Amino acid sequence: MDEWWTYGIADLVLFTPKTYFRLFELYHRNWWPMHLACLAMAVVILLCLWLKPARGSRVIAILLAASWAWVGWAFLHLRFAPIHWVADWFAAAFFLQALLLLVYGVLCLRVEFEIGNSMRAGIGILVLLGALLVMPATAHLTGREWMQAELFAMTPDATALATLGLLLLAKGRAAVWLMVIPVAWCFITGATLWVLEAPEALILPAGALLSIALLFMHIRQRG
Amino acid sequence: MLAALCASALVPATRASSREKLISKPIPSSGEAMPVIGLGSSRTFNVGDDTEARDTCAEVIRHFFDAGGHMIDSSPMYGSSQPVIGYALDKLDRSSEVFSADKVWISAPDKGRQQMEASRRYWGVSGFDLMQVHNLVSWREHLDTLYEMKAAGNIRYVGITTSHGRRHVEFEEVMKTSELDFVQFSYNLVDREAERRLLPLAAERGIAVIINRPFQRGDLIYRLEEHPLPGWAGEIGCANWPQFLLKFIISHPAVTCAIPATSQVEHVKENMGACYGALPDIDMRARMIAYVENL
Repeated sequence: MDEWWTYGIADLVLFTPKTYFRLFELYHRNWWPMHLACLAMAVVILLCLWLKPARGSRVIAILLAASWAWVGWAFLHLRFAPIHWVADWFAAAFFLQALLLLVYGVLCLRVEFEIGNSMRAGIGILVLLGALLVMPATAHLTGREWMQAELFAMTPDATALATLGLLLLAKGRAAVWLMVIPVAWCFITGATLWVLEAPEALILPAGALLSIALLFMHIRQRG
Repeated sequence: MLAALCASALVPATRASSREKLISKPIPSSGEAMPVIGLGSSRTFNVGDDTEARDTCAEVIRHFFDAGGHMIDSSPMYGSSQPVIGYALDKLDRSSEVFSADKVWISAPDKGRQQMEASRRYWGVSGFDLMQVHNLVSWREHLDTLYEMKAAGNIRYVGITTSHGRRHVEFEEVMKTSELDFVQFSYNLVDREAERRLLPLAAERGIAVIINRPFQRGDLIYRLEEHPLPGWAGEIGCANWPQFLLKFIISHPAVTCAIPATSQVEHVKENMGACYGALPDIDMRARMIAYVENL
């Protein structure tokens, strides 16, 4: 389009809050009991971090890649694209993130997930647990139905935030590149929720800013 | 489509309860009568494949038609709004009553026809009454295509659109230099910039005017509903703020119709109420402005 500069964020969000949150409800109803598999994936990721088995980082990267690919296809492409013409571009970015996770985390082994004793690692764990445990409750806490919940590996926001938490735990410079798409998504979804006047609009942008700040601190410390 | 509109011009639609005459205005290029309230579909009809929400939209359209409405406006930009309109028209079996207004919105001029054909299939109509170039995207090339389509009888009217005060200078240039049946832009009681140039120019050039975002996406109503409707609103047949706002818009001599969007039956009934009763004259319009500005 040659008139992009004339649009504001509100001009690009052409659906109502009711339609947007009902999208989650219909999506969850449609894919149940896929949620149990996603829950299992979250448990496996936590166990890999805690028990540190051989190839644990590779397993985490595979599960994360699967989550991004699934959310890109099932949520963004199949469910979100019919009401938002940019959603297929978002889906493409999610597929790219899945590919990057496979390349850096599985094929090249350039990322290692490990619970260290740094402040960055501590905050990473908090962000991860927040994405897995607190985000599903935000819909209910803000007055919406449980069926409209954000869930890791099922919906984009919880998946992006969990990924940022895990990348804060990661060793290896590749973690920086793997943060680009999740951080971008955090700002995109923050802007969307802001236009929709959702109370949780600032959660993901705050998570992204925190991740960027911690990453820069880490890079400066390493010189 | 044409037959239904001609019939409505000859036999004015009435409110079953009051038998009041529905207010319509002529489209300058043809003289065809157009009810002064249409139905927008941005955001409100973009409900995806949610059957429950689609059925609610169909009810909105049913009440719109029942109240004498004709024009429904959409765009490929509005997500699933076009398929939802098609679903409703098919469900209600009232495609023949609609004055279909849609837009072409694609940068690549050679893909314009393809997009318009996709839109037509979504609507399930034999052809569009009005096709507009959305937000002036590739307007030179698309207008050439629309003129060809009009000459071939595929569409009846040609127009251009903008919204929210976007690209008014260029918009004015297109109005001056092109043969247009319709223009569409934003205008309301608190945003009257269009009164300076666009509305007078439309009147001078004999172009029908569709007004979008009459309530500033609902924000204007939320703001005004904190205040009482003036007692004299009844003199112009206004029972609520939406009717007050709509009557102000449609009473401008250059305005042909306004297209408020809603997904609620109660709201479409309120909006269509503005199609009936007296229209404010110039003194009343000044009084309406003064009242709102002093709130």
